[in-house]
Amino acid sequence: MAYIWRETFINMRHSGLIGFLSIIIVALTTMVFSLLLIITNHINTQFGVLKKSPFVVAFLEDGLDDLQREQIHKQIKGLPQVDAVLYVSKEEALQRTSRMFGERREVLDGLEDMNPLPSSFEIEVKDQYLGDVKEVADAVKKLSGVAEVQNAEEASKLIKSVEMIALLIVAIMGLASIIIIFFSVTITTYMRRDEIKIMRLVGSSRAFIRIPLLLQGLIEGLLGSVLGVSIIYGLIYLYGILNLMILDINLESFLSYEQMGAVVGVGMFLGFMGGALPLRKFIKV
Amino acid sequence: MDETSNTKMIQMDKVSVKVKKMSILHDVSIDIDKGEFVFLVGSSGAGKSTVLRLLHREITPTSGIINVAGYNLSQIKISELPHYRRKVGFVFQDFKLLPNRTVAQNVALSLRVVGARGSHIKRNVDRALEWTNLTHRKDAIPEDISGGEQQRAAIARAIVNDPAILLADEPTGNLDPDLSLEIMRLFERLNKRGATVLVATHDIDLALKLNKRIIIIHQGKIIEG
Repeated sequence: MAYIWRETFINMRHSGLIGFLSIIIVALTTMVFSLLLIITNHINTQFGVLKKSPFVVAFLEDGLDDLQREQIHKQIKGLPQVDAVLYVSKEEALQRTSRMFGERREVLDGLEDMNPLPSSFEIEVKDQYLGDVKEVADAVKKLSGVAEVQNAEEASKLIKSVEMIALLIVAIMGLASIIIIFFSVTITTYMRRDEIKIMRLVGSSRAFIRIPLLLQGLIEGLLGSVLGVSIIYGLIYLYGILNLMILDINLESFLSYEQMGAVVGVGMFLGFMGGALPLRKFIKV
Repeated sequence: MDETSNTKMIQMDKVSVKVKKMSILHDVSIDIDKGEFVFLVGSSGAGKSTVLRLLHREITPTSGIINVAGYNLSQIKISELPHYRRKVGFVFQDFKLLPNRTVAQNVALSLRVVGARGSHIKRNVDRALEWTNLTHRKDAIPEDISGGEQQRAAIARAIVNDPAILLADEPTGNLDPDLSLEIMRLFERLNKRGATVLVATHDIDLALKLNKRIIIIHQGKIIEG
């Protein structure tokens, strides 16, 4: 085992510029991943409140008894797109309006006995159905006892679009990183093909050749990802000091320990795979 | 693993190699006994290196059967190949030394790959370097030593683990006549310790000097031996 570790470090020392470039590529990849995670964290925090607001409100006809109301509640809850349904009584609607008026709430005095505000169901839509708010509203409108339905279709579509774009960027950058690392390690391994062939010809097993190269990939992945995360931490720290008002991102928006672990894990995985995939071609001597 | 006769170390039976319809070897049959010392002599391009590469299982024949040290090389599994090659010392014509390792590290490689103990490696490497007169160059890297020294380093690597078979492809190509003879004496010494030796060379005079069995190959066919 000591020999394997020594081989790994000798390989790393001899890989020179290419090894250094592999670390830098992993660092750049993890920087992109980290930034995207941080921005996703930020979007989730900003949109989290919005996403939990009701995108559909069903106003009920006056004079419905408890049974009828319960029937409507069940039917709405039964829709596959619906996450949660909250009943707002006429009294609560009036209280909310009163709170909205603040110091001028006296204009509502006397309405308690002849409350004109309708009772309603506030309907939260599941994240994956944010694009289907209009369909939910149409379905609810058809229910007996529902007088009117309001929906925030535009807002829900905007959130959905932003999330899709973020996901697309993550996918494209992730794929680009894997391709870059694959080619970088393929070049490294190609440069070493004679060495690998010699090892095979003097009786090395495939594992004996493979293990140091895989360990090298893992170590380069670890170094690169720790470097990448550290640089992002430094940049966000600087960003906080400079107090630029473009995006309200600071160290509080930085990766959680779990996310940091995941990013370092991804870096090590990329290094490992980068070491494993191209090796198969050159080891068949 | 197939069992061959106890006395036969190398058996090639009607072996042919074709590359893109061009015949490199044609119906080559060679039998070499255990403990024998044989020269394979032929001009450049006669097929000597192809025979040795077949015996080292770097390439496979188009037809025919090859048995070496109890292994049927036509059917050997990839997982068995390292075990087979550890029994065979091979001196490559182009040396095949690792450029970023010292002479001693290159020589030790054959023992490292079998997981030999450090003290065993040191003892055998020192002995192989002494036999090839390279002790003073053990810490040099290949590009800092002469062609002849590189050739001797390749020989030291091939003999360091006392192989049962030694295959040498033009092992004296870069050496002066005195040193060539010295290397052949070294191979004789290994042969006396029990190793079967097959040396491919174009130098018939050298082969004659040692008074060993000679197989002559010409244009891919065995014409004597």
